[in-house]
Amino acid sequence: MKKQLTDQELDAFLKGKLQNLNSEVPTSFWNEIDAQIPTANQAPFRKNKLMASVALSAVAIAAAAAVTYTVISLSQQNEEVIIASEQATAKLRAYVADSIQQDSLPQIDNSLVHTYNTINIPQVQKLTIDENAFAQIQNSNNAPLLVTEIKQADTEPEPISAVSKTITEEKQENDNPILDTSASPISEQLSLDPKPIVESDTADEQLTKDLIPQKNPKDRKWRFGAYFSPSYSYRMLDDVDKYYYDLIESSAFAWNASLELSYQINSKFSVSSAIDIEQYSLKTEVYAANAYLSLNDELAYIMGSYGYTPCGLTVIQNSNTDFIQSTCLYYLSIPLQVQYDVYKSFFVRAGLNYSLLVGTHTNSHLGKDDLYSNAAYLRRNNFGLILSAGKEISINDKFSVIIAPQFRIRLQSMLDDVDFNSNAYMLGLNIGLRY
Amino acid sequence: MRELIEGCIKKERSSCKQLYDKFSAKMLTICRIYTRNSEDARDVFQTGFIRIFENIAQLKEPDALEWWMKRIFINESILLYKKNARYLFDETMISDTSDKREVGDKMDGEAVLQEVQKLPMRMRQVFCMYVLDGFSHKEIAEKLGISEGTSKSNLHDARNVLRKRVSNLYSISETTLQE
Repeated sequence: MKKQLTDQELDAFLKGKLQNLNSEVPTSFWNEIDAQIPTANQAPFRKNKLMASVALSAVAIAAAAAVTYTVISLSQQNEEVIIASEQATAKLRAYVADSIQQDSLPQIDNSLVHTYNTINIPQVQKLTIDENAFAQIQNSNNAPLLVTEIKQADTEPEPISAVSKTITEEKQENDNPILDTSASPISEQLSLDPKPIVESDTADEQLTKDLIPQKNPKDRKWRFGAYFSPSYSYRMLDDVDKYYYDLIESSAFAWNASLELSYQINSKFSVSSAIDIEQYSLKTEVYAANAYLSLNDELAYIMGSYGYTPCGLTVIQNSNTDFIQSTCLYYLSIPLQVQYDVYKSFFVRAGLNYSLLVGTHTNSHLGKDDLYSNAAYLRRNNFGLILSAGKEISINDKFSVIIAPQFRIRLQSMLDDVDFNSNAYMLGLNIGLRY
Repeated sequence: MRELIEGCIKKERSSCKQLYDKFSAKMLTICRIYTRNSEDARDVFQTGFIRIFENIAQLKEPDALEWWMKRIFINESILLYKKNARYLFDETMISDTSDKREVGDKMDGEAVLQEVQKLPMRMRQVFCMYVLDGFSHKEIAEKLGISEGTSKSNLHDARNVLRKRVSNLYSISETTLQE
């Protein structure tokens, strides 16, 4: 009489039969496997991958150089304008000084007016001369001569001829000889403005500072920078495995440090590249005491045996013991970024970076026992996106400090040959010094 | 066993061959159970062993070796069909053309394997993962990219098909089951 098998009986029957089954293995199988087993002295990652990494690095550097060259070429015209303005400004100053000395109305030609209006003094309303500047007029035509009262007026700036006229008229009203050294001190003689703007040394310095272009670290075309960014790192998983990993993984402290070379294209844009070391970290914690994790065998695949932890395969014998693993992955990155100065010293940056995995370090503990684990299935080469926004604070004419929150994300999965995507990302604060 | 593993870590050919000889038959069976045909089984078998030799340094506990290896082959077979997803959709259930055996024939593993191999790929994967390797429905769903309900439904269908085939082929008595 036939018996209707229950599910359990059927499962036990089939399992018993299949588990005791041994297949006959053709001898040719071994030969094919043997030919592909890595040799003992083989590098940790294959030579062709290393070559690919080097080639990619070269391409990235060449791309950066090409972009820089193009940008330099495009900015040549602007550079000439700046030089011309500086030269013309000096000429203008000398011309005005001469006119003052001769007590005559300066005759300003159109080219000087144009030049004067293109330099960074957009709202000139009055001109006056401080005593230091005047002393320098007597000695040299090359030193800074003019102190200007700059007002943020709504009206259009007056042309330089009107400004010059103001100077002359006020001088005539005061009826003081300009260069009468036998009379009262020069500073009193040159009270061209009825209410002098410069009333104290401090104000004088401030006005001079406002008018005369100050040396700024950003004036340099080529600049070096050193940065360090403490960060938190984690990873984005696709929907399939996110459920499991979110239960046991948490973000961890990470960092990146870089040496940067940047080129200032114009007053707003600069490009930069760097050599960058990134440490990406992640923590995996599976506590046996956690009721959910202990009672649900869904996690057995990860906690009870082995799973694709961030650093690959880890074997765990006893699923009833706490498992803690911290993973550090080290990447050598070459970023290529563009910076846009939004307002004053505030800027935004965006760019791509190429990363090469250069090292791994894991600490795994099962209860009180240390576990051996190592990297596996990790993608060696990866491309990423970098976004940051921050502020550059000038310390002096050479150095400035950068403070910028930044976000980095890998555009490719950090794991290779596994059936889910895992994109690492870091959120940090980039702090640096630029020269 | 520890010495064997250490030899494999050092990529000593003799140790690798020894490990291969020890487990190859059993692992090929797993590959055959989980794959669609002998060619796929061969691919998974070879890829799996290469993967094992590349990563055996990660194995801390020698006692877990067989289990670890088995998981690698299962994962590789799942991965194979994920990369070639079309297999999962164009396959129709193979009709039951098995010769009926006489009552009392001794049932062997090969015959059971043949019956299991006749199941459609998805149904076979779910059945093997659940019954043979102890995966839960949730885990199967995650690994295969299907819903839990689909996993349960596939298991139910697989059991019904196999129950019918086994019952038709053999007269299964309680005595047989106890063997």
